[in-house]
Amino acid sequence: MNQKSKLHKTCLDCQNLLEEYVVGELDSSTESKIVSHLKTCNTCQHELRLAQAINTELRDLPKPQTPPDILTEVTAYVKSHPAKRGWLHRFLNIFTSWDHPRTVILRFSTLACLVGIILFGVHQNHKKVIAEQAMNDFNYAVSKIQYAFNKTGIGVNDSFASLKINEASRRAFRSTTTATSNVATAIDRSLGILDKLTGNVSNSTNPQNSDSSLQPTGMQ
Amino acid sequence: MTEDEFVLLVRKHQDQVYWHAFYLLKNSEDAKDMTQETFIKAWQHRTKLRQKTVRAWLLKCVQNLCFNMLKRQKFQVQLSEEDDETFEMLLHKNTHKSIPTPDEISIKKETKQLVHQAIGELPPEMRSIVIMRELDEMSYKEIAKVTKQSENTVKSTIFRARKKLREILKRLMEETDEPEI
Repeated sequence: MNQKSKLHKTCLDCQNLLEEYVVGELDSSTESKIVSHLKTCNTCQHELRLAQAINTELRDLPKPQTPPDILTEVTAYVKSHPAKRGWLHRFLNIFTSWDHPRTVILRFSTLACLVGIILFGVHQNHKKVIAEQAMNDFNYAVSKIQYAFNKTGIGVNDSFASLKINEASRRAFRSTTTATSNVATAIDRSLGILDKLTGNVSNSTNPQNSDSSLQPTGMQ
Repeated sequence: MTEDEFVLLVRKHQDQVYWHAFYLLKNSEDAKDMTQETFIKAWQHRTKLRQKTVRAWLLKCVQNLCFNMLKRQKFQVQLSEEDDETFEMLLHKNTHKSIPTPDEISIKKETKQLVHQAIGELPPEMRSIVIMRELDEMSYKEIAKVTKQSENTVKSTIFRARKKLREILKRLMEETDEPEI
């Protein structure tokens, strides 16, 4: 039983490697083992003949003839759906083809446009540089003035601040004056009303004493 | 890529693409349609095509189209006996080679037919790789590029396909009581 299973395992190993053996992709030691087994095993010899037949047929597979209308129909499709050139391709084509006079005109006008764009860019850049330089000069001048103010003891910012304070205080004073005058007028009026009221009361109770009460004591 | 350059590309690769489709679909009309569709797709995607990888791209494309067709139609892998034109007949009808002599027919006809029948019974993925290896004589590396697998996977698939062919052939011989080779 053990012998049988061992033999069966050898046959399986052999048959598993038959394709590699037929193609010649086995290393020499494995190949020699297969050859020695094949000499003694009829089953494996039969399997080898099958593998060889398959190998022969695979090597000799017939190549079916391609129908000629494949090319015709594909060519017709390609002609009816021509390649659409992208804008970049068309643009680059201006610089690569000389076959048409219009292309030459296009080429020079494109070049002129390109040069114009470049010059405009340079000009704009120059203007920007000049503006930046002027700004730097102005900042420098301001810093110099501030320095001078600092030297004389008056800060530029302080003077601005004091100007603001003066203005505010002037406004506050104006509004306070107006309010004070309004209050004074109100007091005067209320005192007048009070006087009238007290005068009326004294006149009605003691008209003789009313004048003396109003007069200073020294005069009495 | 210009129109003329593309037509040259079609001339160069049409045989290989057609063979692939023919062996996968086992039908000359369908194979022709799939070949045309492959080249139309190639024209539509011409900006992506590169000289070095164009063959791999075309084979991958035709392979996918054929697999989709097989799935869609639930294509019968093994042609039925009632078919007017068998795969074998189609092969001999459309082959470049001359018609085999009566002697060859008498000796190897049955074996040939059985082997071709066995090839037809292989799963399409395996058949495709076997065709690339045996018919197109592509290297493992080239096949690996098409199938996007490793070279070792491709190699083992080819040997598994050969073993499977042997099993199918053995079964077919038993069924037809073919004398031993």
